[in-house]
Amino acid sequence: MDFFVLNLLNGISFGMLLFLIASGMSIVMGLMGIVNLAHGALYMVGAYVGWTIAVHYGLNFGLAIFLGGLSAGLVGLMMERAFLRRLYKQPNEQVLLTFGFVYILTNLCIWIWGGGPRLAFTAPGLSGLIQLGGMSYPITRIAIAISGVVVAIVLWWLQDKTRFGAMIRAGMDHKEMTMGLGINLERVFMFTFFLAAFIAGIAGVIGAQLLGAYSGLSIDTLLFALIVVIVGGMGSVQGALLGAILIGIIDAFGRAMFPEFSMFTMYLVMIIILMARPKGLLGRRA
Amino acid sequence: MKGRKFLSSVGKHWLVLILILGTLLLMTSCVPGAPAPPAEPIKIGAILDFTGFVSDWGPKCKAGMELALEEANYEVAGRPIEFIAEDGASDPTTSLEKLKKLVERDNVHISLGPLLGDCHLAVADYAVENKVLMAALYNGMTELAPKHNWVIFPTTCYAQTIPMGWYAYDVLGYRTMVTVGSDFTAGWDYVNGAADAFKERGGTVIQQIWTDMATADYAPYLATVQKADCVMHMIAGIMQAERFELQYLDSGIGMPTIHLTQDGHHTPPVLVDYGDKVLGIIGESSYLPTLDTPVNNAFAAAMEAKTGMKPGGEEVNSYVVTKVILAALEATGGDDSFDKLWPAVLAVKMETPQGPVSFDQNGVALTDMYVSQVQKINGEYVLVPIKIYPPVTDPRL
Amino acid sequence: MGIARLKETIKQPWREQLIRFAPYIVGGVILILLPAVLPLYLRSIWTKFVIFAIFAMSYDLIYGYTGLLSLGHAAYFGAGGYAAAVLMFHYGIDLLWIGVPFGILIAALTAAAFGPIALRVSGMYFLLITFALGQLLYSIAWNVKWLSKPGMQGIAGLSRPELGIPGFSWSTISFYYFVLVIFLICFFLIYRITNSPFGYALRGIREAEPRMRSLGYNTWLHKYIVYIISGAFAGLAGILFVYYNNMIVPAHLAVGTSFLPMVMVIIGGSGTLLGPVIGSLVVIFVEYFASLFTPERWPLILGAIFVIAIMYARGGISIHLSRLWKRISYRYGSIKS
Repeated sequence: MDFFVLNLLNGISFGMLLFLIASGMSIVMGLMGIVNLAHGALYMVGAYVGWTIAVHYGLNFGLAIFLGGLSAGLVGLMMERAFLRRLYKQPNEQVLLTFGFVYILTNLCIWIWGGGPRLAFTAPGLSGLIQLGGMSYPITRIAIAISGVVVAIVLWWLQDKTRFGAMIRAGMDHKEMTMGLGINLERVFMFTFFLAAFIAGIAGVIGAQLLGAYSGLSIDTLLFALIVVIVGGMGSVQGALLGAILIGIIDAFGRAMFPEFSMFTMYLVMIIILMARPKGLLGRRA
Repeated sequence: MKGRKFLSSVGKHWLVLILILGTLLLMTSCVPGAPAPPAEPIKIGAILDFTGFVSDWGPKCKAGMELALEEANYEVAGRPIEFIAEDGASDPTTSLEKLKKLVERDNVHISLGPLLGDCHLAVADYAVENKVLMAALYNGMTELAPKHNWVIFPTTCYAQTIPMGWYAYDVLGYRTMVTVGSDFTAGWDYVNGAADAFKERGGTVIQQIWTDMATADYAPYLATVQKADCVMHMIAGIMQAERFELQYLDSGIGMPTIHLTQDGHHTPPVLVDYGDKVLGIIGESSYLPTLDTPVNNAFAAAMEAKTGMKPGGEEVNSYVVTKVILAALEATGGDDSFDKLWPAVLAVKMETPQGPVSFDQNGVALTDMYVSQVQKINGEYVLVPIKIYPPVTDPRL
Repeated sequence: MGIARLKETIKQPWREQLIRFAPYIVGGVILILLPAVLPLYLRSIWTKFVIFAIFAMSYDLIYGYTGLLSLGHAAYFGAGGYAAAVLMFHYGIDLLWIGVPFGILIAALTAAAFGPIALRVSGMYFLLITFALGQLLYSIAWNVKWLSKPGMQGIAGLSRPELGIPGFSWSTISFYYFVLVIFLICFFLIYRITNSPFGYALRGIREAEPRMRSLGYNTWLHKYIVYIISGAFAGLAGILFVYYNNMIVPAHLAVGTSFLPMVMVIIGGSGTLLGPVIGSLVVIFVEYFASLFTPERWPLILGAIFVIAIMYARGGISIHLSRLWKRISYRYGSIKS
């Protein structure tokens, strides 16, 4: 029983981290049809900036989260405004462009922060263990899980309960019609992209409690994000959440039970789900 | 969609054509001139990782090599030295490509690095065929030794940890252990070197866990750890060992740990970040910046002046191997051809920041191993030696 | 331009013919003669460029002509490579005449197996599924010990393949010409495929699939067939790469390798024959020289080039080249009026 509960908790907390990583990417995919391969790089930027604020300057962790998100958001905004915007009708080239940014951002981070990785860090109040019914569990993982839930709720509210969210959903379902209704879809795109990048950035700092900050994050988190989006479907918060939790749990149990085949288990499950539902479990985009 | 015309259509065509021609011209500019006359520089090549999986190590290794070359004034036996460092990108095919370039274009006969085991095996055949003296800077696989053209420093992965297994049994008194290691050959060798030695003394290894190289979350593995006297671990990769250790501490398992290749992970910058969390942890190291010998003190000071950081394994290994090569070149009178250089390397004996070094007939270095521990001295967290073991040769050779 | 039109062209004045075929003649001369004068280490890189030109052409078949953007084409590249490598390593079969067809077969079978999974969707989903399939093979290659030589991930230390000719041993130059011959065969085959009714149907599918279906074409079958053919060519490139490096590593199946043909085709010009070749030339050499020029910062240069190429060389380099060529040929060729 202990084994089951422990792995379940691990799976859920890791899954919430995956959700934080993937949610922004999913929305951008669904709305703008862009596979932003630089999404992991934005996460990495957030993580490094968060480290600088929280560890190097020793400031408030919340501030680190906010600034990490802001810096990633600004980088993302620059990408969208200066480059992606001109390639609206060419999704294929957008993929290549974002990939070029992965190279650039990764190497820039190595340049600025040096190749040395930064260890996992957290706020002083969050380190240590908490007693959960006879088991001790790290507080940071619970903090990650709670953050994930908070972000999920905010995003869901944004998506389903606000006018802005309605514009996003309309744009996903039928672009021409939405524009025909007089909605400035370009502005919506811009803000959505910024939001996605911002979330990637705060995910970078929140996730740094587990993963730290290092240059390989741009690819590592990209792979995670892609898996989550594939499984959960793109374009909806619910899809990203479902996919993330599912993958988190499968990964946790898979590693515990078949340690030598961990990554393989994840990919295999992904393929199986794809064969049954090619657009992901809760895929939205038409 | 708005957009200003950056270039006229024709202009763009010419721009593209110029780009292509420019690239082709760059190509031709890289064609080498006539072969060098004898009093020309000795070229020492290095294949380091500046991008990719262990991009952290590249600049550090380069710094160690440069320090050794600076101390020799970039010359040996009357000949100047030209040092060429290329990026292996932690990729076997790229490493091979760069070695070919070093050999075929730059006429290099000595290559320090590549760094990773896979890359070693990828370049091994070419290196033998072209008589290049290779150096594995951060342990190497036992398989490389019989080829007789590899300098393996500080020793093979397997031999590196053998004394730690003895220490666990003899001194720490453990009788059972669980091992956790990265699931690849170097990981197996590091762990099994100590585990086999432990078993040889009479201990029991009750469980061996092998983790995926790309693990982000070790919690699932930790959930399966069984009860034993200790957990011995060697996790490879950027930050992976630290990540594992922190998650281990968070897991509440509580059993004492033995940290193999501790010097590679509990480096000075990491100890500053970590603080008390790893105080008292014992492990195996091949080099410690706190070794109090004149040679090491001078080296550590020089290294810190050069890079602003205290040196770790990457710097010292590169430094020592470069010094060894320089000593061998001195002995051959500046002859860097393989047949003259190899026996000269085998004959080198010197005092290094790491301790005394000499070589066996296979090119595997004979170096001391240190049992190390994290302690707090004068308010600073440092890794200190608590026991020295004399060199061990790899029993599999 | 089909065979019939080719015959018609030959009847025209020699000057026009020269101008029309000049790019191919120039290209052919460069490919045949240049390596002989290049220094040794550049010869190897040139060989690598030709191998990747085959890989890029195979990708162009599904992307440029059929409009399927895949992020997992290295699955077939690596499958072919692993098949040949495993034959050599585990079974001691290093005869080229067995290794190459076997590798192509395995690659084609893999494409045939993955095709029905991937082709159920299109657009972004296709991108993601192909990515997933490629990563699946990568993780298998990484984890299954039988696919690796003890001591590493992947298999190194392979020898060059046997030709079956007694006393023959490979040199860099002879290996290059071997690769060149294969490239020319592939080029010709792909030329025939893309200029056949099948090829035109593919273009139709790329532009307007529903319309093709309404015209009675079985578009799924077309896509499936070209997918398998493309996989076969990719596998062939993979086998050549194994021979070139004397090794295979799991990374040859992963997304990092899948990117390369995509980048090459987009930069060089999709939907053309020369585009992938030019793209391969540019990407391989820029990457190589950039990393020599600055071992620590070369990804910045490469990334910047991708970005610039995408933003300012729309349609790929080959489009610019061909338009330039057209201007030159109109200027100097006699125009029938």
